[in-house]
Amino acid sequence: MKSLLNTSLWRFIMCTVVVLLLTTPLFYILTEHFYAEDIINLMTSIRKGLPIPALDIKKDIMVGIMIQFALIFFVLSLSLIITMRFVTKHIWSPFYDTLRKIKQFNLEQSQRPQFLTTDIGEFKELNDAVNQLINRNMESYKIQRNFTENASHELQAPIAVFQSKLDLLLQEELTRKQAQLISELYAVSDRLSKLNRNLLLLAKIENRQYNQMQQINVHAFIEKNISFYKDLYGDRSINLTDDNDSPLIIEANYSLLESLFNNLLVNAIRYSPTTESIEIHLKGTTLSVVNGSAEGGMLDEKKIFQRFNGSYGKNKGNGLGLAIVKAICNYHDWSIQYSYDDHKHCFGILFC
Amino acid sequence: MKLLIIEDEKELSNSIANFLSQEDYLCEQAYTYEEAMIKVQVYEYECILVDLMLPGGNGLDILRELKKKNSNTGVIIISAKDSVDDKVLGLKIGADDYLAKPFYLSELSMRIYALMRRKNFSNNNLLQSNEMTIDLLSKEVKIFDRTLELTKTEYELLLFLIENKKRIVSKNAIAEHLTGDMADMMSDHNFVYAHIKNLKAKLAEAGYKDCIKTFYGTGYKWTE
Repeated sequence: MKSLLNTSLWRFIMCTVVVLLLTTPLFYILTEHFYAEDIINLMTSIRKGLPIPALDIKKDIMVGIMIQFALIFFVLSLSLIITMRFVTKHIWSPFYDTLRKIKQFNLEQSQRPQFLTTDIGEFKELNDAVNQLINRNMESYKIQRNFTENASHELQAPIAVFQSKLDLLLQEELTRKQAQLISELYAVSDRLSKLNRNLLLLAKIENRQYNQMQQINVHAFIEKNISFYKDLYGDRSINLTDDNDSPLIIEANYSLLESLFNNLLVNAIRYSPTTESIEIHLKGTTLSVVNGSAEGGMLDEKKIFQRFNGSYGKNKGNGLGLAIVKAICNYHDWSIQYSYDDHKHCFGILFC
Repeated sequence: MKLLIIEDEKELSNSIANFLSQEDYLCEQAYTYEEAMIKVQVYEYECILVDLMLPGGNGLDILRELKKKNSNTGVIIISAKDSVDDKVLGLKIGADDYLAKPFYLSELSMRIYALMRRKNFSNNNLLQSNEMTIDLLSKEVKIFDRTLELTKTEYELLLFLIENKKRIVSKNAIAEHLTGDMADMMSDHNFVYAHIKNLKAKLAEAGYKDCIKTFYGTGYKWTE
């Protein structure tokens, strides 16, 4: 295992040697023609007994040394640049790879990143530490998810008992006041049980327990689901428009798609004025649900998909509907967008 | 009719027994896997309600044992787990129905009723209530031989009330029954009023007045 400093130094030395070797002919030519030229002339003259030519040796030597300095400086700079630009980039590549993978890492996807193997000590240590951190995080995330699921399971039984006792109580001879109280208790048990089931659904999606995928014709699917609501809310108008020439077929888990669509539709019904119609569009691979706004104003895009954010209406839903929609989108790698235009809320899902 | 409730949550088991014994059901209770196994092996029941997670074992094994005996017992799984796999597996082994906890007792009672009807009167698909005849196959309702035009929701509502006759059914139970899988997303039950109102009007028009009694807006009851 090598350290980063040693590797860099070693590469620099190697580079300098190579550049030096490559520039040797240049040194030779320079020495031959500029620096040593006068001395060679002088020596020849002495050997042949000719008169010594008039030479300014001091100046010549100065120029020669300067040229040599320049040349050496050039060689060092060149090898430094090469090492910095190309060699270092290569040495640091595992680091940038790790960095990129950490940035992309998402706790909700259970896939842990695979880092490049490296023989540089610092980077290996970094990868090991990051791996450890990720493992610990994933472990606690898993514990947290399982806790939600187990807690929801455990709560089902007491809620069932509570609800069954209310059912029994309702059969008794009741006064108006008592009936009113029971009605209120029913409302509580109803909220409790739905909240719990929705939490359980979220936990199950996050624990990836819906792996049965099938091909679904979106148009037919929506028509089938709309008819249910048309029957249930006879006074609401829900329209489907399909701009596609050929039917859009997607691969999805059926019950999750149902949950997604129904959550969107129930929200649209719940938060729009009863007189306005709800528009569902299919265009390309996008499904959008558009509804008028009863309370007015754009919703906070960052918050609406969070659990229990409370910004969407007042105590009407249980604060999990859109979180579930988002989780289902994530599960299938679809994207969801919210927009507000012309006093209408629009939720668009891009199947891809 | 003999019915066995296999459920480890004693209070829930008692509630079910209490609620169902108001009809002609003879309810027996088993709280553990062993207890249930012995009862299933020794006695014959017409219907068994079985929880999946039991102290000492899995409810599915009781179901397997039953099927090995080749009995004609109707089985309804009542489970808190509500996982798709369990449901599929349970129905594959031979359960007749699956009900996720928490459920309304009126819903459970209706399921038992429907199951018994399927088992016992396999050729008779007519439900009779005084002058009213409901053909369960064609989903046709006739009063004094006159066909009553009902929407799908109204039909389901009528059936639910009739199958729970003499008992008060809460508005919440009706809402959950009508919305089925969608129930968890619904938070208001106003649609129940609307459908009850429409159904009442249609029944009154056909000469069936006051057969749906309202109890202070909390529940409804079918009276003949």
